[in-house]
Amino acid sequence: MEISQLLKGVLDLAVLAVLRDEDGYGYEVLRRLRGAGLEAVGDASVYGTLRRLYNAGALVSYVEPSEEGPHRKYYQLNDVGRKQLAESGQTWREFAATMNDLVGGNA
Amino acid sequence: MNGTAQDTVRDYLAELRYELADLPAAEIEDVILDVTPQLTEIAEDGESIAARLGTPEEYAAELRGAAGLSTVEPQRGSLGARFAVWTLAVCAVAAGYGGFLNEQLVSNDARFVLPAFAALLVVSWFVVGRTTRAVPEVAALTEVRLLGALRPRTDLTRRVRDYLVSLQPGWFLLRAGLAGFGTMLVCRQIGWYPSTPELAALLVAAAALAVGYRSRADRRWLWLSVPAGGWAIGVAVDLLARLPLLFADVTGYSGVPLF
Repeated sequence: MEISQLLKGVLDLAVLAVLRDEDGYGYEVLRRLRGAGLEAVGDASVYGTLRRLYNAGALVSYVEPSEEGPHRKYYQLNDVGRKQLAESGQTWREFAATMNDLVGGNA
Repeated sequence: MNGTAQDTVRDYLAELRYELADLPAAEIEDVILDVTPQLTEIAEDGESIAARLGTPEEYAAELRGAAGLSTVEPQRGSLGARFAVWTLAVCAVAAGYGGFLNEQLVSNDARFVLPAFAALLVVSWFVVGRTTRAVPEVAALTEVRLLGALRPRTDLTRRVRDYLVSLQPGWFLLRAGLAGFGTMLVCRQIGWYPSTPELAALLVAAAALAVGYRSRADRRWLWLSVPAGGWAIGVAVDLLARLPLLFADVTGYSGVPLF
């Protein structure tokens, strides 16, 4: 099964999750996702997802200058984002458990 | 960041901006700010950004999809868009013919036909005026997409394109001069009060220059800029055709001294 197809439905949750403990700028979020094992995640999809979550009011942003290169725009979870993370996380755990039961039973 | 890497990033961002041009300016700036650190790193590693991330067109499409941002709607308004784009093409040719005739326009039968084309062009302004800077409805037309397929994809053709783009300011100036000169010839033939032709020439030249620059960021201005270019090319062809007459020790073929 194509991981990238599965990712489409859960990228929001994945992005919220990597921002839970620490704010991050776009490229950093992408690297955290890849580092966590989501190798197949599309570059532009991550930036697009950040913009969607931001426009939906789940994230706030602030710009910080960087000594190494261009300015970085950091994203931070706010209360709306934290609530969405909790709810989506719960949905995901139930869904994953159901799928595990289903698939595990046939293995 | 070294110069080459900077150029690579700048070029890619410029194309990305073009692909996103229909979005609010603040949204575009936010996206640019987000993606720049990664593009910079790729360029500094000496890699091709397009090879890693896809063409700006593909990148923009993926980003729009994930962001839930408006996508280009191919169907909507395409009848009006088709009218606008073909009117532009026909009017550019008509303007070229007008420019070629220039001072003879006053006595040529074309003086009855060209205003009709001009009227069509004015109608097309109302069509493109309703759309956004990148005229997405026009860009979605099959005939325009076929032209878009000729867009440079390789390094060599990109370099040729960049070279041609670098000539653009010079062309805008030359074009302004030619368009103004042609206007002056027409006005003189009409027999307007002395110095009115020169004033009209200056106005047309300034307008041609302005719409040329504006059309680079806002494609809707092409509906003035392209006919201006057609007019200028027509004038240039006529002037070139008259060149031999300079050496033949005669006045212009319509009996009016050339210079």
